[in-house]
Amino acid sequence: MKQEMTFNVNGEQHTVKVDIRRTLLEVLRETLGLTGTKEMCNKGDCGGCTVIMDGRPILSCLTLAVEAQNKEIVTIEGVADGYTLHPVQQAFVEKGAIQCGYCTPGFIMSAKALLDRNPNPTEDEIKEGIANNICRCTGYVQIIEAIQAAAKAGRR
Amino acid sequence: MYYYRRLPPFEYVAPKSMEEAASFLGNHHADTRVSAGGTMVIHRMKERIGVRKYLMSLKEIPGLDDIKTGSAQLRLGAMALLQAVAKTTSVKKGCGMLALACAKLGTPQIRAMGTLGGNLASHLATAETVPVLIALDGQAVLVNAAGNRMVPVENLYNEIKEGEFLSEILVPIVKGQTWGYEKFAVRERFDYATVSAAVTIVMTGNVCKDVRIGLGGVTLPTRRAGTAEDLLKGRAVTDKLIGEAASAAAEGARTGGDIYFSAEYKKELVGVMVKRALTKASAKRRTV
Amino acid sequence: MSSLIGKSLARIGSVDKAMGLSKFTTDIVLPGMLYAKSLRSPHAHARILNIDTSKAERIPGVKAVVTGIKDTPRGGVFGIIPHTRDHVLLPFDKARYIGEEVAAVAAIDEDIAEEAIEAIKVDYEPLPFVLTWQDAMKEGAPLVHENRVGNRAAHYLVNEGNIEEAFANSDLVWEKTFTCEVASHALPEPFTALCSFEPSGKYNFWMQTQCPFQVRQGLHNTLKVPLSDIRLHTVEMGGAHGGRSDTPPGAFIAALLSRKAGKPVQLKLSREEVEDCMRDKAAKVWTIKIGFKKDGTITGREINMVLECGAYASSAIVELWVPLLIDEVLWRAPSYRYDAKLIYTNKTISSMMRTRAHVGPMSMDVAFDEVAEKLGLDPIKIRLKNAILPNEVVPSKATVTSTGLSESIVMAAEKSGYKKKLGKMGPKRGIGIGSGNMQSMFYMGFRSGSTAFIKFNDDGSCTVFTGNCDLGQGNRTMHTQITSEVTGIPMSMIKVCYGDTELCYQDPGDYSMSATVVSANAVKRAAEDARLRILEIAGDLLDVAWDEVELRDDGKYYVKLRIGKGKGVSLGEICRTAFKRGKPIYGFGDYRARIDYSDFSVDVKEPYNEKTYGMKVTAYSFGTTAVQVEVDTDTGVVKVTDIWAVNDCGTVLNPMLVIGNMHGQLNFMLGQGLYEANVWDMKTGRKLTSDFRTYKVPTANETPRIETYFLNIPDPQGPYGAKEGSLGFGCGLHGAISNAIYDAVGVRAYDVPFKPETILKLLKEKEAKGAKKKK
Repeated sequence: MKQEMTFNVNGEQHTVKVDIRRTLLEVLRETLGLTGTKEMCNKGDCGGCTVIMDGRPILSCLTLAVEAQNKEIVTIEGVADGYTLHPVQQAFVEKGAIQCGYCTPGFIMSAKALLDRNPNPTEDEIKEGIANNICRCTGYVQIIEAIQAAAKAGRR
Repeated sequence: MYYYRRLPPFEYVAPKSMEEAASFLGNHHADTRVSAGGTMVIHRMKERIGVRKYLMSLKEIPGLDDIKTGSAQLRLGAMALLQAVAKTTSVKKGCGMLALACAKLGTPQIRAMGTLGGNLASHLATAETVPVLIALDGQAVLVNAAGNRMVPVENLYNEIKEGEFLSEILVPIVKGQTWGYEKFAVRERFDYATVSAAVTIVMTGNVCKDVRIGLGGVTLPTRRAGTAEDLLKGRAVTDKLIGEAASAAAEGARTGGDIYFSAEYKKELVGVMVKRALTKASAKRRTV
Repeated sequence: MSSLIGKSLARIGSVDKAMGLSKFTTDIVLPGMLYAKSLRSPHAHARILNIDTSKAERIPGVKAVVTGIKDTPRGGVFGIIPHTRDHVLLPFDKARYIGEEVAAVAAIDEDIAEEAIEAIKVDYEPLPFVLTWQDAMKEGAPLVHENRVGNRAAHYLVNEGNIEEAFANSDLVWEKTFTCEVASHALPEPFTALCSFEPSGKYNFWMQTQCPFQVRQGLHNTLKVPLSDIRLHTVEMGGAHGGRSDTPPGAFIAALLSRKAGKPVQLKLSREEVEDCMRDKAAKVWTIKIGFKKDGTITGREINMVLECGAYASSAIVELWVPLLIDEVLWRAPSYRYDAKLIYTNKTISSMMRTRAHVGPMSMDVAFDEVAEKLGLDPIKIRLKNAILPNEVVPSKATVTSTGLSESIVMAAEKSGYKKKLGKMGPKRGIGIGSGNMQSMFYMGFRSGSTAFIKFNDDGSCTVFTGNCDLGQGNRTMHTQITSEVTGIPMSMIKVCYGDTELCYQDPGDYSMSATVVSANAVKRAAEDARLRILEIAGDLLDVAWDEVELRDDGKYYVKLRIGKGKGVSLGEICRTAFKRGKPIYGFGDYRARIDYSDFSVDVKEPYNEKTYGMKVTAYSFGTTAVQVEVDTDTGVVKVTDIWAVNDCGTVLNPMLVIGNMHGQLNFMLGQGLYEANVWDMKTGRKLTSDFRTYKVPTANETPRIETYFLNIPDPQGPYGAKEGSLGFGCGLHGAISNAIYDAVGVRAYDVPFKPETILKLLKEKEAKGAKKKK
């Protein structure tokens, strides 16, 4: 069963015909070719598929594509300004918070969503903001440091 | 042995009004799964659990996520996002325990997608809003093709029938009521509550006038710790009495073992959670 | 020029990853690519009688179907070690665990592939199965592999000195059994094999792996084509941690399908498939008996270990002897006996894991604390008494070339305030310490070495070719940093081509932490080789001897003593001159791991006994962690609040990266110590913890406060004195936690993970004992 849908991704309007079985994650990756958002557990238990929809961080693997109709989506590819990194991305690079990098897009989206709603978070608030995101390589410490640095950079 | 990455085939229905939803559900309830936020339904469908011909989403019904405040009660739409319940000032003021429970439920993403009604209607022993709404004496409004009716949340799982869906939850604002909420989860800010306890209490001085204790992580019919409540009513609340009430709650709780914990250990946990929740709830008024 | 050694630099490739533009294997789409799915056995043990694929083949969009019975070439088998080779990647006789592949399809999209799998009909004859090592070792137990008596994949026995005499001469003999449960790697990127078969007979692969040359070997054995017809391309990888250390059936299956269909085939596993059907870390039972003199000196150690490897030996065979390799050099033992068995069960296959050696170190640290208490000795002093020393030779004639074990114990105790806090932190808080170590490289025959090659362009920029993979830890960055340090070429002008089996020379892979000592040494030698050639031509052009030339900061080569005065010559000029002379600049370096066996014999028949004398490992890293815990005595929940980690990893080439790797190790150890355990349905053999909801890895909210320290004691063999740095130091964490729990609440936990229910039970037993005593 296919349905036409329109949504805005990273500032661009898209109209695509999707099978209603498809999740938002699948449409972003397979139909739009935006492979930055990752399939990690595919069931909402790892945060790797996090994108921002209408300002909220959501799990795109648990969202039907058709339920993103008329919504504004921001994926990892929409965070930088051309080749100029967003403060969160810059901080992740500089603080060693990226090892294998597979969980990175999910963390950056969660961090961005956090800082957009709370530009000055405490360490505890940061930990709560990234509660859904699993990382196996970094042990989280440098990720938390990166988000703290990004918050500081944002305040200057 | 089959391992799936894709969702199974289904037909998607998104009614635009309560009447349309009730009518569709009335005709097709045996073949329909109702989806609120979708987090649980989609997760299960990927595991090929609970797959039916139709998936009916409540997302396009206007007003179903409204949160309305009165002086005597709060009316929360079933589709209110958990994060909205957690952060709305009137909810924090009027039934702070519900706001806290929703703030502690899951993760930021789950709270940005999941709904109050979805959690309530999930039928899971571990659904975290259930014990809280039992303690708060919440009422659930059920809609069906014939109209709607109200049932206490305490009886929800016995009352709700196929062909009905939740539209609203009503919570009375009780003057002088204090509360305490405790949950036990393996990973505190990620996992569902293995066991939880929600207590509301009204005290005169240090005497318990009224108390309600809701338990999470237990099976029906033990979701309300009636025996423990009876022990407390009319008596001075002391550490010793709290201990006795907690033991009674644990004794009466029906728990099931899972791959992490035995049923006996969960009963222990019930006792600990009730003790801590009662201590919190009664802390403000107690003089002993 | 300031040195790059010891400089914290961001990992190369981070910017692409931060922007979401890095292409991982799961992101690659090739034109005409088909999507594959495997049909998997629903039985833990069953004979495959017949497979009917006719219905599946008729489904429109299905382009190829393969079964073990029809398509697996007979006689091809994979296994890391020759005498435990037992893995026919797509079996034709039996399925040996739930989830083992028996057939596969490739179709134009995944929905059709899923449909086609359901249309294949398999006739199985279910067989009795074994799920625990106890059952597997019983007389008359069903055999997972017919030719393996007693379900024993391997038996490793080492006997040094005289253990009976040692115990007889001891003042105290201490014995305990420790266990750990099956753990999962829970790797972020789901396993994906992409194979594109060329009509000429060549197979192109893109897949995540730590050891492309091992995988190539396995595919060579099973596909039966020359090594040059198998190419594993460089990939960006979503974590490995030991779980991508062998030849996965998926690669073999994708190859068969691609050849049949004449199109590229992508086989991607779902999360549950990864957890059921890829690799785990083996459950272990470790019984240790130690003799002590009353001054705390160890007279001898006897270890009996059983390791459950699941249905195939895979790379778990390595886990059988790693505990020996590292245990014998952590604490001194004049007499030493090690008896380890690898036992088959009908479960998910086990492989290597970065936390591999944690039960062994834990048993020693618990022993030290218990014995110190019994004998009235200081817990730090008893450790220092037995700690291995630099250049010490152990009974099996292995030498520890460098160690800071003693220093790490002292520093961990100092930084954590151990002495002040021990026994004094209050009713629910406690402190403990634990030490660990890890080898850098072990014996792998002629594969125990790495070869690197550097090719130069005419502007002086270059490419380093190394078979060593970058799993995300930062190997690529390490090789670039070292090349830049040696040659003076800016890092931005050095590219690393890694892990491509066609372009690069053989490398052990990221096996047993060989990257720093073996692979980076090869790169360093290649860089030094290139540097000499550069200097030779520079000397020529500047009309001086080559050793009078040096590189200065402006990227030019000048004659020494005449900086700024004489004309310099740029590297680009040097390269172009070299081309003109028909002798292009290049660098070639090889490093063979310093391993020798003075008396090494292998009995390839069962049971397998190995006499292992001599240097089996190139270098060892050491370290100690001190841990503070809080125990909730009502629920038994243990929380780690602080960790002080002291790392003896030689020279620290890039502190920020190594610290990040250390945090990762502590996270793995923490998870397996407190939260993670796999559970099986004992009636069916089905794994019940196959996703991230049921298998509980730690999140940021479980992470304690961590302080890291480095000893910076150079190793004579490592490049610039560096050795492995992200595993060894942390292997003592479980011992530290067990000791801290005892300090906090007076109960001893010997089984990992430390479950709340177990701790609560121990607390109640202690209370009951105490109440009895009062009466």
